[in-house]
Amino acid sequence: MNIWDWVNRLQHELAEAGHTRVAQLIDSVPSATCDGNHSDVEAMVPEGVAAARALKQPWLEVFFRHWLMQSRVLHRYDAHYGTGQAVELLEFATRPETRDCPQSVCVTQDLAACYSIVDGEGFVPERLAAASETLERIDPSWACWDCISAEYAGALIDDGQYEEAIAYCKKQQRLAQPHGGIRGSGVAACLTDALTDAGKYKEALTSLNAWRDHDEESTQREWRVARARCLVMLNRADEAAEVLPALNTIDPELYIDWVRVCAELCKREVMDNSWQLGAALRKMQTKLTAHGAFGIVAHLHVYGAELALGRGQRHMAERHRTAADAVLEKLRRPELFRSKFDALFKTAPAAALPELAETAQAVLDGLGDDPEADLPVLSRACERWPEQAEVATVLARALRATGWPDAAEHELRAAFERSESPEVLRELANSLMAQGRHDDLDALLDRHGDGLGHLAARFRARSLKMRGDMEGATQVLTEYVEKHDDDDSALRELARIHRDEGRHDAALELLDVVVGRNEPGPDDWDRMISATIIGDWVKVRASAERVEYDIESDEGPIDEPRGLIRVRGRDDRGAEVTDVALATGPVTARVLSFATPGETERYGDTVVFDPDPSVYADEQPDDDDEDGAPVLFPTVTVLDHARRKTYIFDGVHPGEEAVQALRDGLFEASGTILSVRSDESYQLFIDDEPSTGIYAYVSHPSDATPAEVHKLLTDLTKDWPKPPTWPDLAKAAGDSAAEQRHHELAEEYGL
Amino acid sequence: MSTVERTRVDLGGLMQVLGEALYSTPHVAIRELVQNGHDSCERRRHEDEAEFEPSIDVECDAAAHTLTVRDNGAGLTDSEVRDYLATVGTGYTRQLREKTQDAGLIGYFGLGFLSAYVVAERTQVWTCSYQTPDQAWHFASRSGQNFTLTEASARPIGTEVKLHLKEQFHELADASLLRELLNRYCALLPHTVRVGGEAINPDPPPWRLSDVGALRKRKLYMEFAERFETDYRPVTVMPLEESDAEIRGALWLQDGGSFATSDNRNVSVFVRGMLIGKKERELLPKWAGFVGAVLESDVLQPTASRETLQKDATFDRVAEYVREQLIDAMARVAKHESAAWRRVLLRHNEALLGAALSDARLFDLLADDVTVPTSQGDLTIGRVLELSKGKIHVAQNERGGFEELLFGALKVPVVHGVRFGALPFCREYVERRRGQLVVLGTDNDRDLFRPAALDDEATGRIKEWFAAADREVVLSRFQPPDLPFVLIPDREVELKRKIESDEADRRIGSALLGLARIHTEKIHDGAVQKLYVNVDCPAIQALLSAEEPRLSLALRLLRPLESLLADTAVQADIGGALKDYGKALCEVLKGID
Repeated sequence: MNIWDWVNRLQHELAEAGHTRVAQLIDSVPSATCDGNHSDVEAMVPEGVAAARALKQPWLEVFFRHWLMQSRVLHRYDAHYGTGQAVELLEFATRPETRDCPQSVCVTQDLAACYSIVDGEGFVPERLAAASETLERIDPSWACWDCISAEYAGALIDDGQYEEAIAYCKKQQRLAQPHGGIRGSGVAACLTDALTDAGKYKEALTSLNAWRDHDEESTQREWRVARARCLVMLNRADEAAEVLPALNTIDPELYIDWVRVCAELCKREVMDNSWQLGAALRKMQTKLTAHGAFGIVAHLHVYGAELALGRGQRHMAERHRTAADAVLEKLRRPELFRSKFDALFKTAPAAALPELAETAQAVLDGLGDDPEADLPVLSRACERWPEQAEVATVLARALRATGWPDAAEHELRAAFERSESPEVLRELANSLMAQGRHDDLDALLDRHGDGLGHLAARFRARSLKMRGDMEGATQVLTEYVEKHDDDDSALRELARIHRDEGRHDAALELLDVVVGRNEPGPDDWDRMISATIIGDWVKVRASAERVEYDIESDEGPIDEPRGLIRVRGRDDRGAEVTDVALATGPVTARVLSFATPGETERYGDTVVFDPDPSVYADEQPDDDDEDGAPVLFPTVTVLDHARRKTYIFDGVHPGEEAVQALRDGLFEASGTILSVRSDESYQLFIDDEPSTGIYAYVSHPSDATPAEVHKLLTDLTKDWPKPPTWPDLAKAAGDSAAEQRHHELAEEYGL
Repeated sequence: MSTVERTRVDLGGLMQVLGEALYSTPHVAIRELVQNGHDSCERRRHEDEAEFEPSIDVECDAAAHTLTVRDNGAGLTDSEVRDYLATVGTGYTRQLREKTQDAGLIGYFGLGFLSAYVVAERTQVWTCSYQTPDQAWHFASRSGQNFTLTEASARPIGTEVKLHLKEQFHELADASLLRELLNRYCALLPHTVRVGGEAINPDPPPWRLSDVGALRKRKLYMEFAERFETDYRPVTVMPLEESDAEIRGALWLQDGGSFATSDNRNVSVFVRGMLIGKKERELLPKWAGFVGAVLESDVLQPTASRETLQKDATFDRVAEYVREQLIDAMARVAKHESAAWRRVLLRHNEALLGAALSDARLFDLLADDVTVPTSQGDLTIGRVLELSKGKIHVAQNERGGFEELLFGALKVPVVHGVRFGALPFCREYVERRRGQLVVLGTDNDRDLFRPAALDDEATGRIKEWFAAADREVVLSRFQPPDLPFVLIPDREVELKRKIESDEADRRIGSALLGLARIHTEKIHDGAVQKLYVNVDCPAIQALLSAEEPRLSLALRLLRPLESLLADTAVQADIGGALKDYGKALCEVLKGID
């Protein structure tokens, strides 16, 4: 039974019928899954499923959804989303229109795997029953034979039945012999695992040969981890370290075995048992906890404790044991883990109470570069000097660095309850916002906000801004400044929100107040931005005078060339564009760059820029680089769109004189600009004769029509030895005969 | 004097297996011989005090079907011929490297000469060692299993290997093919390699040049990259840190559009100056489907064929280094080469969307520049947030249902969530940056419907009007006010009902169903559908003040709309709805009569 036959045929048919994209996805989704490229799987599957639905191909929908499960559940160990989706998929894959699809068998593995992740040990009987039931439906000629058998063997291994697992794997391999053997690597990998778990390391090492040549990247990595496990247990630790893949290249499915190898390498002093290794383990746990992989998290707590004891950090080992309690409550066989913890702690020496220095500051000064080792002394210092905000924040940072953000938050909340210290609030609020926990921040500020003044209003506003609620942010700050109109930093912040939201009148009103009671400086520049946008030239001049920016004219709009700058704004799609521009006032500039023809032209646009070069501090030219690009500023808004249109002009170069004449003629007659983009390296071959070409943009202002410019160009180039071409402009001018002629010329010149 | 002797290793079939299985293409034979010549020159440099200008000459005779590789390296004495040339797996180079720790030596396994027998029906070698400059030797063998070794007439120090090519490999005696092959294979070799008298590696790679101005160097890097990138012109070339001792080279971003899943990673890896192969795509991250690279590193270990690299911790380390360098370099392009960057963004938007999702640093670099497909065209998330007042609405279906009405009326862009990467990218953006994600058709789109409260009587009446089996009627307020209600299914409850039904027992195996039910037991049982009634809708308000018999008539006109204003996931009976509507309309008309 070739379970992929139907999909191969369908792929071919879809490609033939022009559905190339979905045909490509049929290849790409499984490849990306097997190569561990999971973000691509997430990115592709919705498209595949939508296409399957549109094409009314329910089998194909099963196919894509199954591969998503493989990626999420089998590789990434995500049982949180995975279980619900696997159940949904099971329901879908057993309907009359889908139940004959071979991949509906694979769905068994998707669902059983969820439970092996949630609580592998706890669900052994159910997993064995589900795999047996499915194996009865198929024979060893199915590729599913490997996966479902591996699922069965995996359950035996989780149950500690290693010898039974070894015998089972060998039996399944034997049964598949008459069908050409098992092609997948699932059973072979389980056999290696079971042999290793049973302590038969040499045999395990030999068993690796059976699956070394599977070229899926995830299998290769699984193989390397399995080999490292065998090697390290055979005391070939250096080889094990060399073959062990880097942590950032592996998927969660390999976390446990990877940590197991590390623990053994640390024992043999081939790997550094550092606090960073402990923190890496915590990152795995955080991810797996979010994935609902409680069984795996519990295992990692045991290894975390073992490693911590190995580096003499009993407090950290205890932290793992305590944290494990909450996880074990979710498991059916918690005693398995409790006995492991008991065994670990039985032989570990008791922790000594850390010595404290005389003052909190002395404690802080005495800290080293190992946050884990600092934790006991910091905890004690926190108890001793509960009012010292800095001790609490440093403790929280050490907890975060070692991978315990929840404990860090707990410490900060306790410290804040004690002290209402702004410093602690800042730390706590930043941490909550970074985690996107805005509701928790709201609750915190609701309880304590009154005493915190501007800081609370500011955090509320920032949080609302992050949530995209600009109106809410405005309201919070407005209410605050109504009560505290002497708080300049709040006024500035509100003015900035007004400006970002295009309410320049409101921004100006606030900035007038701030400017009025502060020394000349940044507030004036901000005021000039808002005043320029609403055309309040009196205020622009007033602030310019304060910051000693000379303006020659006495009234009205300012248009006085000052020098080249670069401005960075966004185009219609929202993408960044950087243009060279001529500064024409303190905060205005006229764009001098041409857009690529086809894009919206920005040449001649007047923009308002924020004259703060520190926005792009790391992109500014060096002071001593005279030839470098001009200083770069962010564009605030486009004050005046020139709305020019630009077309390509291409042909044989007639000599500099003729080009200059054309340039002058175009500009004088209609303000049209000829901007030559090519140099002498632009060579054309006409009848095998080389000649220098000219490639230019022709850009006309909005008050000239394409027809006028077309006619002008025709007249001004009529004496050129080889007529140049501008087919797009001819088209825009409605001269189809000329357009046709220009296309023919372009072909003749090989443009 | 001529002697016929047995080769010291029992070769038999092994020779054929090794030779043919080891190399994927006969072209490799030429590379191996050039490398032997190169190592021979290196050996002479180490061992012979006399000055010499190392060179390797490759010549071919298409008519005679021969290929000759000649070097002026150390040459071999008769015993060395026996020890190294005629003994598979014991090259001298490895010993010399261990002795001198010289990274300039290429050979490693002592297998290189084996490749000659793969392509040649007869192999001849003339050699004269610097140790015995007055004595030269001629070695000849057909299959490699037997050889003759005779004293030859005097010749300059060095070695000349002549292959009489097997018929199927006659193409190797083509000068232009040789030049093209060696141009790639030997581009980084320090000693001059000539084909038909013309040097093919006169210029060292740009990273080995020190006295060159920045602009000139940039140009050289571009030219160098173009030699290795035949399919897509590089948009911009990004040299690796030249100060790094372990790995040198250049990366480039390709021109030419890519799809999300296009994988045009093009990597040429040189180890000890010799091209290993172009199959080492994994040295570039998977997301880099639009990136090319030439990498030179002596820490990477080739496999025995030297066409691939060993995948070990060193390989991982180099790959990680290359990834970091690539991201740094892309950040530099973004900052300093805005035109090139814009081109890269336009060409590879989809691929970059995927890339941003797979690497946090890339996300930071790209988040505000890549676009997602929306109902208003391709837009950056920044623009979407601006147009939607801080929200990102994502549709999980192709258009339809109430969403189209809702958002069409609100004039906000809806991201096409089924297109490549769109939904995960929006999700990531909201998590890392700002904004609120509203995925239509999931629980969080309930935020669209703000709860509303009316007095008990009005609430009771509305609930009664729209009551139906397995339905919860929810009073709410939402935009646009013209929409009287929206019908949305609760998919979890639907799933629970299906999995826990007797019908499921008939089609799903009991063990599997048992596992599924462990999950569904945790789902709270409620109504399968929710009807959100918009109390801001003038029609609903008018209903509240209407009296019979108009009220009943109006309700009969309104109810069929439920099917039309349902989520696409609801199996709506449009035909039945139209029929009911027609009937109600007829009654209205009768009433007017």
